[in-house]
Amino acid sequence: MTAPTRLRVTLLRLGIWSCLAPSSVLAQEAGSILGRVVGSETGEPLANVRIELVGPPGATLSGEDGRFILVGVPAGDRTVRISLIGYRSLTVDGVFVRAGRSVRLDPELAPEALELPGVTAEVDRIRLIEPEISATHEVVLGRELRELPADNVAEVVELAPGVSDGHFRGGRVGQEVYVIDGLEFKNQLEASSSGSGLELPPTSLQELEVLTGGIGAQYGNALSGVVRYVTRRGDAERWMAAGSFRTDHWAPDDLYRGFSSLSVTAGGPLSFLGPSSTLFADLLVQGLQDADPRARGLTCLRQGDGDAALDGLIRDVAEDATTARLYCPYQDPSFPHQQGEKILGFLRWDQAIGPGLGLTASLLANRFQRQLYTSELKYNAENQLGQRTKALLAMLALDWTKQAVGSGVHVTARLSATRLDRHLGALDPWTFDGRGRIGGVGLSDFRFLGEDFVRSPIEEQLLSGSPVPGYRDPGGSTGSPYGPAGEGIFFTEGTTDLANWSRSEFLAADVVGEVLSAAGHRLRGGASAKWWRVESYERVLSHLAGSSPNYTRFFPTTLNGFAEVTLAAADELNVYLGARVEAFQSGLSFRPDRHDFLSPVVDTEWKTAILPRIGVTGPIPGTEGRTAFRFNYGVVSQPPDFQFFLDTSIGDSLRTDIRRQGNPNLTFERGTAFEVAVSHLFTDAVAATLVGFRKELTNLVSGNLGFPGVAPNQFTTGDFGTVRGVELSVRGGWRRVRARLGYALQKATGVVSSALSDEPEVDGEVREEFPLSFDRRHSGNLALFLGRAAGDPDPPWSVTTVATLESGYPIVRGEEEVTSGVTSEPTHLPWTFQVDVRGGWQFGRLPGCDACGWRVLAEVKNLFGQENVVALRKDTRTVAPPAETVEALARDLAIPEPIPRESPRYSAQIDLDGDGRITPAEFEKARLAAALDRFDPSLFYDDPVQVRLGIEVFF
Amino acid sequence: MLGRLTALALVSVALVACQDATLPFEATDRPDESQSLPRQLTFSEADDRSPAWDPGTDAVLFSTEGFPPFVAAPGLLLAVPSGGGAATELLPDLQFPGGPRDWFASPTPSPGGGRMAWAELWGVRDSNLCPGTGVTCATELPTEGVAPRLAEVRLRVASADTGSANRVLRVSMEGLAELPSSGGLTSYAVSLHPFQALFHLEGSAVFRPSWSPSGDRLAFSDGLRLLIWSVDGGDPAPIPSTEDGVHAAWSPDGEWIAFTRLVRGEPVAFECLHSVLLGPVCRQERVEYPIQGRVVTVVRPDGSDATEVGPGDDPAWLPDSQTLVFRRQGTLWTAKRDGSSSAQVTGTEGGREPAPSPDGTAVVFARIDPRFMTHDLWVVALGGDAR
Repeated sequence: MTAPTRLRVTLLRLGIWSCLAPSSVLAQEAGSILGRVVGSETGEPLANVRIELVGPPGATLSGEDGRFILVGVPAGDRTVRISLIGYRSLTVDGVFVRAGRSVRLDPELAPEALELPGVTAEVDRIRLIEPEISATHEVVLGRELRELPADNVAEVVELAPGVSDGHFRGGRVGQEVYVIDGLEFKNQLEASSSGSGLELPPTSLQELEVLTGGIGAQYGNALSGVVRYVTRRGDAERWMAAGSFRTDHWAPDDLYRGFSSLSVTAGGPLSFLGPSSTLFADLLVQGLQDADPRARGLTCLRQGDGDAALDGLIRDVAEDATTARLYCPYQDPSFPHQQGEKILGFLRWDQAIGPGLGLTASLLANRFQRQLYTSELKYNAENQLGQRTKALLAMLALDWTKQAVGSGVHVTARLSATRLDRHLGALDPWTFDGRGRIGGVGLSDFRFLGEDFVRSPIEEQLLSGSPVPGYRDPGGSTGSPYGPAGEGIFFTEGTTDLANWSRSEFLAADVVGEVLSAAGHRLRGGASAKWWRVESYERVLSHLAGSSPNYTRFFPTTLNGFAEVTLAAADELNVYLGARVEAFQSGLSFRPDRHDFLSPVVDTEWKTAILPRIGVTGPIPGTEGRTAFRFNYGVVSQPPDFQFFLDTSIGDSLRTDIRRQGNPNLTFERGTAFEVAVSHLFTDAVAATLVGFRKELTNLVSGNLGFPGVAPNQFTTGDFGTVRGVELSVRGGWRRVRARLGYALQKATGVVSSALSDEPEVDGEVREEFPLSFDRRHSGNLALFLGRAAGDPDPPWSVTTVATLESGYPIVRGEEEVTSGVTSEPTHLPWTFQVDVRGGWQFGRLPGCDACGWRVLAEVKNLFGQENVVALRKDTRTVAPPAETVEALARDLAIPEPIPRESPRYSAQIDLDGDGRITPAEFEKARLAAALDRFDPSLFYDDPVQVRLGIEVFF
Repeated sequence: MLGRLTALALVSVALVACQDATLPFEATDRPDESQSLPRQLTFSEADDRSPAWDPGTDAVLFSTEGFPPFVAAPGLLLAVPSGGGAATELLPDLQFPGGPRDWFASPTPSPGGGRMAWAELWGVRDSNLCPGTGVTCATELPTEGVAPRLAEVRLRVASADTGSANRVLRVSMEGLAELPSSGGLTSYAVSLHPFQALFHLEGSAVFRPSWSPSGDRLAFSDGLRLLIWSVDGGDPAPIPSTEDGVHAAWSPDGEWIAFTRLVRGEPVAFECLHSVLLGPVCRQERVEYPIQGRVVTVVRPDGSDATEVGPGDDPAWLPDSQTLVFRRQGTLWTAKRDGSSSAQVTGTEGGREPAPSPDGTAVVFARIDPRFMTHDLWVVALGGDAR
């Protein structure tokens, strides 16, 4: 075997099997390169070899033992030059550095006397197994993100085994934290009900990592998962740009959903600011004529949706010639009153400002606004419920790197400011009548009725005692297909009565430092602080004068610090030890007993938590390194959502307006988690990992557990739960095919499913665990990348497929379980199955632009048109209510005498014989039709078939 | 190359396509029947009466019994678009849900708009003078034993928009007097004049006011004669030669007043007793004046030149001030002021109380619905000759 061949094989082998040195998962967006340089002829270590990055600054020397470590290397594809006087220099291309990871590179240098061609490293971007990583994680690279048939990053996160509908390993929504270029970000006010509130364009990411187990000490605010984003930086050599547009506006009606998406990215050097200054910009604009399309579209109850009695009612309406037109009068493949738009912008500037010193400034801005379809208002042509979420994140990071022989120090300090602003309320009709839009996208904000008023000083509002301007009593009858028979069922006049907004801002400062050695040891520590300003406004019955809002402004603080060490022990065994200290203070004063107005008002105290974390990982002896194990244990915690400090009347999914009393004295939600995993490399192309885990959560916030001495419906931390399960992931990588298969089997139990759960109040003395409403037992997914999507540059075509197969959630927990404690298996929703495909064909140079390439894209979501059911009624366990429920609604209004045509209540729609009078009998028939329509099951279904065409141009 | 260009062209065409969101549902609550004649304007089972065409709004004003969602008053004034549609309450300051349950009738807009006159029936008596008793009379007349129900009518004039700035004229209606008790029985002297019988039997708006063209005077009937009231001051003055005149109608040119003369028959005197199980509790000494005929008559406002147009009642003027439309033999007719050129208006069977449109091309009237024995409003076209 010749030397070059040997080197290439060595690199290839290292790339597949051991090119990463022991490490845990880090917060920083930079990684490191470590290894050992030897002479190709002697195999002896070479000292004083210069290892240098090409492009970004960074260089080090090897030690006497030939070992080196280069720290602070920006994530991404890097080129490394290795040189030593008397030896032929070696340039290694395609060294893929991942944020927070150490890439191992063991070059062999040949004496100058030997002829040696240049070498290109042929390493996998993601290794099939990682015996030194103690975390369970899923990594999606930027290239893959851009190929996946996903409209947003959240859809990609769902591909990680154990993640389903925003639940990470059976945890509640909001038990995860997002890390953007090292900055820990969470919608601390209302993550459990409104999500993260911040979104990045998929094209802006260098990589995305989802951690569900073995979460390191540097992460807090998360009981169940971490999503880590590493953003792209501009290319240091040349400007590159790409633009794509996808739409279904060309599609026939039954496939048209009103989707259009424009994405533009550009990045490159800012030469006038120096050789290492780069800029990257990304803009994503999506127009959504139907912001939440469903498989059946706007539909209604059909025969077979419910029981025989309901079928009879449907027949009575649909097969009677006089009432047939009242059966399901409003159908469409798309929803009405559900328009929306999303605009995401990202800007990043990187600048070297001195030896080993770099500055990164980034700005992320979001605006997502949409109408929220509600069946009560579907015949209201004027006023609809809408929501607007705006987010702004500005971050400044200072990165300092100190290289030494055999070691390196890397310190990052960040300062960031964030604002999340959400408004929920009745939309001003101007929003759609007077606002300029192109392709469904308008540049200006949605307008809400009375927005200025509800954001004016609360004292002025209370003094005025007036309703929210523009709000009117929801009601009306004309304009629906049922006229007066729709009264109380559909609101064709007036507005919704909700006016709700919140704003949370924080200023964050953090510093993280790490010391790495060429032997693979690592020591890291850091601290951060966040100073919050939170405002929350909530008003129900906004149309009524004198109805008072819930409004609170307060200033919480969160602090944390962590330290962790990774020790590379003998036999490639790695030990991870970490500890984290968390603290928060709500900043609220409160009266513990509201009924006693003389009781003292007390200030909330600091809450603290200490979180140890341990991990052990390494290859199993005797397997030649093809089988590895890991074990980890950790204590996790997170402050409760700040919203639970406050009173609330809304938020429960049934809009029951159950008032819950806030509790500013809530403490940390806590948990312990451990897992054991085994990974095995079956062939050089196929590997699998099996993980078993158990997570016990305590102190979970609940709004409906009763305890002695606690006000009814007051938020407490009296809930608890357990999640246990196994996850299997299989990966395969070939030249033109890359595949990931994931399967998770888990069981999530607890007392109640969420703090705002609609589940019945239970006695705190007999708290039993039951399968939670989001207890999805089985979930599997497949991601398949073919052709160019798999990284093969040769074929002009690319195909990416994502398939998911999941069992359904429990529908009911069983009343008998509450009282008797007898556990019975609940009824579940049906399994769901969906396949999404994206294909592309690259045509080479774009006509008229020699420097441009272009390709055509075609995308199909829910390829097989599966009508997946994602919700069922608890009472019938179908999408339909019981016949008696429909009849009861129909009966709750009757007319004692006919309604003549000259009556304002008259509607020809239900004057079935056209004689100018709506008789009580006609009214009764129409009322039944209206009641059937009211229970339209449109929202019980998941994604419809969506077909888009697109074009992408790049240079 | 051709393939690439074709692909580019196809994709480009697809990408520039633009569709709208799903449109809001549009319900046609009311069919448009404004062009069809004859057309029915009202359909309620209540008694819709005294239509009048509002020249300002092209709406038809009328009185009816209150029905949901309006106030449940015995007499409610509404306006309905002449082309058909939803009715609205007149005089919103006086008529509103939850408001007083007055008995308003005969809305009459002033010729120039702005004001409206109407009648408020005050103290309408029960048809049984002694409620809860059985009545036994010596004769078998159709009005046997019933009380003269109209006691007082208040003519009111107000702003047409709101009903504010009210002017009121109290008009006592003759027919009932209490006698000294006799033998422990409450006794009444009843004179059932023709107009009282007409009100009782047909609900006729005998007191209907009519504006002079100048809009400052009203002609009306107190049941026994016509009078003219200067609404801005002064007492009403009787119009000579209008005895037993009801249904006043002032011609658009102001020269004539048409009315219905009730031909009074020979009086019939008799006694009625009201009894309960233990025996009689009150008695009536009645004199009834049967209606022997109804004659449409015109007279000048000063009472001169009284001329009979012919048999009929409920007269109304066409805009030419020469032609009258009125009821005769259960249908509507037109005739010249002198009685000539009489002609039946087709499609008006069962109609009464006609009110011509301001342009004279159509007439709105009340028509009996035999199912409920109440009236609905209809609009028919008037033939060219009639105009």
